[in-house]
Amino acid sequence: MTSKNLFYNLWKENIKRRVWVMALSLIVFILVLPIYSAMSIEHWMQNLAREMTTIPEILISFQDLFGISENPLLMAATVGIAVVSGVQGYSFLFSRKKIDLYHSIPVKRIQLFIPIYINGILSYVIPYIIGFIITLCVGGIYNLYTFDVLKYGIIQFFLNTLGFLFLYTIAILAVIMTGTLLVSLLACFVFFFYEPIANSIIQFLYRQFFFTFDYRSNLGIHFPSFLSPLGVFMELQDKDLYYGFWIPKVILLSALCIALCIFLYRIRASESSGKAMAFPKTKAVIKVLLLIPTGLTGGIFFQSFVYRDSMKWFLLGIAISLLLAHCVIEIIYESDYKAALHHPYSLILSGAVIVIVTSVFYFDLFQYDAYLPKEEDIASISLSPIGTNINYYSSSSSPDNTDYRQIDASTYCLNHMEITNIKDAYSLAQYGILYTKDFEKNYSNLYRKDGDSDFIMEESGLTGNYRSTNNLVYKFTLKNGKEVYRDYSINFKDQKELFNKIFTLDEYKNIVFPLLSATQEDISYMRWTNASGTKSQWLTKDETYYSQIFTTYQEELRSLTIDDLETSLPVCAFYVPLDQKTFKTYSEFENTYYVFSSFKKPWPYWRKVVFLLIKYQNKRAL
Amino acid sequence: MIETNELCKTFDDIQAVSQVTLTIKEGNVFGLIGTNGAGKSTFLRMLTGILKPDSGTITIDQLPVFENPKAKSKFFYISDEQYFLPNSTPKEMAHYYCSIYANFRLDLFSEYLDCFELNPTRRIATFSKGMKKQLSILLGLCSYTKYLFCDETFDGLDPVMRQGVKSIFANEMTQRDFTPIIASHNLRELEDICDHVGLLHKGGVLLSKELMEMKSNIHKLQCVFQNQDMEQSVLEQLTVIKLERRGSLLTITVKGDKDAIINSVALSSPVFFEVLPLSLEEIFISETEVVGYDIKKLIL
Repeated sequence: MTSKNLFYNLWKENIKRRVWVMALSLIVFILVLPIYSAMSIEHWMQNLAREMTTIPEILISFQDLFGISENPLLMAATVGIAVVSGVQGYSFLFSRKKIDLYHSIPVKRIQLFIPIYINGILSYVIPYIIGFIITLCVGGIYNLYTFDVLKYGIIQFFLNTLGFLFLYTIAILAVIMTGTLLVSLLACFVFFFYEPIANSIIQFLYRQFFFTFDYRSNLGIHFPSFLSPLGVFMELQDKDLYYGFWIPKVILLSALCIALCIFLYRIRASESSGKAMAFPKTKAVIKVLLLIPTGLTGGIFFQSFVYRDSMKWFLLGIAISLLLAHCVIEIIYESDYKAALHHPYSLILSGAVIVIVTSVFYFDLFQYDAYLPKEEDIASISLSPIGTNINYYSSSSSPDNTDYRQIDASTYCLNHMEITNIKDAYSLAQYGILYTKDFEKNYSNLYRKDGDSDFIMEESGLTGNYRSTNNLVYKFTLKNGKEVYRDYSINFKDQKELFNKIFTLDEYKNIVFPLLSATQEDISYMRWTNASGTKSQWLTKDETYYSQIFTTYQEELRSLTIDDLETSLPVCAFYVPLDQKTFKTYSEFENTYYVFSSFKKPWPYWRKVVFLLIKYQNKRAL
Repeated sequence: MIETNELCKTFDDIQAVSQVTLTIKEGNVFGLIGTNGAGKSTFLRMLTGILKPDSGTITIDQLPVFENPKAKSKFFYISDEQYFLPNSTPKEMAHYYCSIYANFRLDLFSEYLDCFELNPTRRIATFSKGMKKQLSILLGLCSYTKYLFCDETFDGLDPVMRQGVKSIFANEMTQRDFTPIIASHNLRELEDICDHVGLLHKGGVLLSKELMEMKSNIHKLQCVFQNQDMEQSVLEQLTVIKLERRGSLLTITVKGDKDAIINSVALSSPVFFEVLPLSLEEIFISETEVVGYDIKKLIL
């Protein structure tokens, strides 16, 4: 018999055994694509009838259904089918009877592996294509079928299939490394979620023990993202990335995983069917890798019920979790309750590693909090905003539309600000390092004593007199391109003069107040409201007084100081839209600006101008 | 020919097979005897390339077995609990094996199914244990391989079927190059079919001999002598393995040539003298007692 015939026969026989997986996959894809699409389209059409949306927006929403970002059901389907296909296809490895058949026949293991592997891919691809075609037909019924939709759908199909390939191969790896169904499913869970869980634990440790940690920081210690199959799959969907290096990276990772699966399958002992782990030498390693994050999670969990730096509860949580996890893992390994306390050395080793990791964080052995880049190495500094109440937005544009999404004020300023005159900001950072350490120590001591944070803040004089937060986030952009984030506690009362120098820098203010960087042409209107915000008056850019008010306000804002913000109050507010193209008379996305009592032009001026304006508009209306 | 040399296999702390060196010649029915846990299945699974030995070598017609389709195409393995593809029928299983074994005889398979009154289109899941065993044997025979490994295959068959299968084996052996290797813990089952027998105990080979050789070299006599002197004189001339006395009736198991033994006894003019047939079981007991094992406790 030729190898081609043999391959075909083995493939055909395997397909017969996997009909139910194909059927299940088809049902799933019918549900998550055409049926879900039909339900969504009907909803959008109702919105269209109420003029709450437009056809171009519906088209974009329809096309987004083919991507996992906007259609999480599709992602769940991909992950689920990957696990089911992988586990079902190679589940013969769990049964001695089946192994006796498959490993006694005159077929090499790799010849058994490949047809099963291919059929697993087909059980995803074929139902996907069917579901895709039906979805396009559904879209066609509502005239939502365009070339762009088709193109996008095909691109997403390939990306999702690539992601599926990686997930599926990892699921197979889990099966080959284990000997029972339950343990293989647990192994899938570990493979898929280990990296995000481990990185979450590490991030938590950073947040818990390092006072200057900001969540935007690149973690010094972390697991690389390619270790997470789910993370890799989601990264593929990032439009900014998939035209980059991620696609070949995922292909390479998948190829390496396939090679590993084949290698391990070839050396896998047949007698490991029915045992928890197929490769005894991996038991200890895997156990330690599981015990460490489990122990740390237990410590974090216990500590979460008490105050931040309670080490005794942290250590107790670690000890209890370690012991419990050790017992559970040993019982799973040996399938015997009496084996719960076997192999204590791995428990001791895990405990030792946890103690070392905890010590690194608790004692800040690498001087994380004290770290400050050298002044000569810094290209620019960005700061989070203080004393503003502006909404900040990020935008993504396509030829037909611009999407806005509100983002955190600190994130906006850190991303856009570049203070190159860093002397004052650097000095403030130096102060921040020392102050943060003292502040946290004093705060912790007082909190443990009294437990009421507001009372403690008042009594200790630790309350910032400044209107806003007493935290200042720094982003140091180094000359080598690296970015360092730190979150410092600043007593603005002590450092007002220094901060005022920073506040009055154009590089700072133009970002914190985006209106300062805008021209009159950029802003289509100013919308003034009454005190309660129930009535609005629009001052559009073609109005007579627009230019005067716009220019005056910019001048006033530019000369605003920290003292002004501290001592004066806002007397009125107006709103400016983000985009003059999309919105006609009323914009969903607007920034708020205030007129302060400290402005050189007093309130009567603004009131007069605004009333004049209202009168003028009313006259025109008449 | 199948040859193993110093074969060892350990599972965790249990030595399943220890230093097993055996030769299985072609054209003979090889019986692999042993109690439960003796290592028969493990040994067979190593021969069939399912398990990889910890040490030692296995060759089938001078070809190593593990991950070698060429060597594996020479045999068919019937395990003690044969696996059939889910929801399959005998016909579908035959087609499956037909795609694996180049010489599979579908025509012969249909004939055998008729003989054994097995429905080719009935789901195997609905078969009884005995019917499944029959089906396994038929599939093995029709694969037309040189060697057929059977692991406790006969144990689930009724006596009629057992005889039927034995005659098919005998027939196959006369018609083609066919060597069955049958593992069992039931000596009585193998007695009338095996040519060569190997006894495994606690992972090791206690004995491996041609059955005829064993039978030709050991005999059981019952005799009564005229007097004690005569008795003593005869016993001194014979190689006595075992002696049982009930009054004056002696039952002795002796080694040696049958004719020579008969002559020696006849010369003493015994009152009564008879040569009794020895069962395989008795041969084994006698042989193994020589090597110091009280095999009576082990064999059913």
